[in-house]
Amino acid sequence: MAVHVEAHGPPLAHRSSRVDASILGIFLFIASEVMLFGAFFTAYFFVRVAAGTPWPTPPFHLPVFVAGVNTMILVTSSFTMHWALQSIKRDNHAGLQAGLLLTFLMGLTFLLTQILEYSRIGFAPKDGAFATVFYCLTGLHGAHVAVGLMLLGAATIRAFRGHYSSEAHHGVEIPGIYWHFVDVMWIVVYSTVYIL
Amino acid sequence: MTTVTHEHEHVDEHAAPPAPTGWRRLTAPGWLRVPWMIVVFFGIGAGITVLVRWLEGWHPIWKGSIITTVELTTVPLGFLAGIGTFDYWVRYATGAPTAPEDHSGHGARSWRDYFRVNTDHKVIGVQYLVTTIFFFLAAGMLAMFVRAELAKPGMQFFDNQTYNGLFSVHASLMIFLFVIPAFAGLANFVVPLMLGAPDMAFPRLNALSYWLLPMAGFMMLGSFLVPGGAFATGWTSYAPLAVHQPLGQVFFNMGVQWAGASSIMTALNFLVTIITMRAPGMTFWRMPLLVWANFTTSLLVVIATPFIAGSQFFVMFDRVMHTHFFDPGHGGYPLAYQHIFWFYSHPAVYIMMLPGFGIASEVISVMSRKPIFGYRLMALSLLAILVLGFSVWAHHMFVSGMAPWLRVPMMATTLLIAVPTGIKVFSWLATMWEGRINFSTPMLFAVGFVSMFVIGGLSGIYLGAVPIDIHVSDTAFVVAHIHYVLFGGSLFTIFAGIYYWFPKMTGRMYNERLGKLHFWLTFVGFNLTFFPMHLIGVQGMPRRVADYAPRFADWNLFISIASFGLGASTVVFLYNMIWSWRFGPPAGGNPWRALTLEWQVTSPPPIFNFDEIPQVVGSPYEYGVPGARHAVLNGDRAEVGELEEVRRT
Repeated sequence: MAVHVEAHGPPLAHRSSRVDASILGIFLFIASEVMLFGAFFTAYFFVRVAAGTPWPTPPFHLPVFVAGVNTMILVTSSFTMHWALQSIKRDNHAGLQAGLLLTFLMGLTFLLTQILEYSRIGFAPKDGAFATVFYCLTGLHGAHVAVGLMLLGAATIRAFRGHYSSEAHHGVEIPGIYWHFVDVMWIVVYSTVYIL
Repeated sequence: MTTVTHEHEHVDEHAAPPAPTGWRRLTAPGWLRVPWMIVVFFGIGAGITVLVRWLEGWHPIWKGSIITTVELTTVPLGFLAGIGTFDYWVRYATGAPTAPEDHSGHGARSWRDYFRVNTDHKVIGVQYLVTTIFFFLAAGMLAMFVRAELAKPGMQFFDNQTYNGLFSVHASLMIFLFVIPAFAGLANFVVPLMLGAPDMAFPRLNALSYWLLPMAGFMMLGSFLVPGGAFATGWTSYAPLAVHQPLGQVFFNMGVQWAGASSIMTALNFLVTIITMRAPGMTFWRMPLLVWANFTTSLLVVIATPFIAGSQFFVMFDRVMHTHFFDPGHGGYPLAYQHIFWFYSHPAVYIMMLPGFGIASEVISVMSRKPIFGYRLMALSLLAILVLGFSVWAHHMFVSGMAPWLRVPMMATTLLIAVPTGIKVFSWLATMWEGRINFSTPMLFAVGFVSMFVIGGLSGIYLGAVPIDIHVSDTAFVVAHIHYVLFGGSLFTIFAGIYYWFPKMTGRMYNERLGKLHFWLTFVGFNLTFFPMHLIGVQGMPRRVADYAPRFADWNLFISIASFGLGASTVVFLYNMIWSWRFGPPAGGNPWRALTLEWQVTSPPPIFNFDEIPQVVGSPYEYGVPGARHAVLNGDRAEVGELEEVRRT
């Protein structure tokens, strides 16, 4: 049976690139996000290198170990995210649901641990430039975790309501790309703020 | 984010969905949902703030300045939620079945559709232009107040803080609410048409980016109403000064965030559209230069704009959270602000100029009936400006006390930018050379742009040289320079673009006599206003100061009178636009006999631009070349094959 096509409908756009539009879109968005982190790292550079603020400024300490465990949690969540995507590419819905749920829960754990860390760290954003940069870099990253959790939340809800298939899984892939970015960015923040 | 996938089986897109009735009108997307959504989001913002302050034991729990800062984030979100920019995404995120695309929010069938969330790039383009012209008029009015105050030495009408507020809001509105989005609006209308695409890549994102804009604008204008008056630190808003200003400052910080978000989303949309949605045969080297210009600009926006977002965050954190980014007493570094700010804001001057280069290239080639001279070099010089633009930011800081070794490298890169810019200027001249020039209004503005931009470019070279810059820093010379590149440059090309595409947007022709009158009034008024500023600037007339030495009185009176004439010339423009939109003679599809794709469809274009995606077969600028074609429309595939043959031989 011939498909009836409405005569006044829009013509389908010609695809002039092999790259998918939404994938390209999220990569450009991430480029922009990297530059936002770049602005914050520039402030970090000016405070720590140009102004020579001691790091961490005594008498404060950074909980390197706890944050390290937290880092492991976030890195693991990147792997479960990858598992979710690979599952749906093979039409394995149970794997998709489990992967997304685990990723979401680990992300949430990371965020809650960080909030707990803030409350017990012993200094506030107003306690000198070191505290300022510490809170703003980790806070900016925390905001990105929160946004990532919202995207993951939407993907998880949709996965449990039976959406996605091996044909259509952009809704998993795009939050996934964003989540990997959030993860990599944390490794950069952790190494520059806590370890270096 | 979803691509334009249209399911057009069994859907009559001309049947509007049934209008909601009764109480449902209050929950349907639209202006009736806006007021109560704003109240709800105001409550959310205030609630969170009060809760956090109560939990942390900060007093007072209700603090006006903090609440205001938070509300500048949540109230706009409430507006956007009310007007309906998020409806689709909310349905999507909760996993509800998304309604099949019925195109009811696409295209304008009456004037009311311009006041709704609309996904048609042509409607959004017009929304952008009308909004930006509104803010252009508002900002121009503020400039008139500034000139009224400066007409005589001594204090006339305003106190110092108010005067500083006037020129700060003037510049911020002109930059963030007029020049940048007006280019985005023109490109929104034209770029998908030029590419042979039915719409932008992300139509809903496109609608959202437009609706962010008016809020940024009203935020900046609204700062006049808060206690302490408007933000008064110039459009550069240097810290630490900005940290210690009255509440109005936050309206700048947040306004820039909203305008910047809008601009990043639009740029992303342009990039994806240009990369993935070109018509068959439209290679990068067959794209019109306007598309090239917007491609480069969008790259700049995506890469650079987050830096100004960062700098405004820092100022806000210093104010609200009492952080110490810029306080040397607590380990901060005051110059960090200027470095981060100018790392965006120098590329931003190219964001404000490159689309204008594109418009000038289109207009000059069509009106001279000649191929554009040095097409590839024109495109490559845009990319050269893009790259160089990131290496010159510190030339704004020669007198700031930054590391002295940075001065000379920054001077060298600054002067180097004259090379790609020079390539473009000479290419325009060579395009006009021996052409059959039609001096219609768009061409007058384009030629006016080339000549004025050269003057602005030359004073830019003076300012790029360290010794001269130190001498004329913070004088009227800088004001003259910025207005020669932004008024004589950007604004002239915006006018050229508006006149050039007016017949395409409205289907009617503007009045040529009034257009020419507008050009000459603007051109003469502009030069009388801004040229003398070079002279008094070199002699030491300061900028950003309400009072000045009596020896500058004569020139300042002259400038003020000229500027009022310049302001009055806008009336001619407005009258022409409004009258012609309503009563102008029908323009026909292609009044300029241009080759680019937007002129090959009716005026105004059909709702989905093309019945069938066109096939591009050649360069867009082969004017005066016998038998040359840019594209074949409506599926004459046999003709396409022939033309491809001709091109290869």
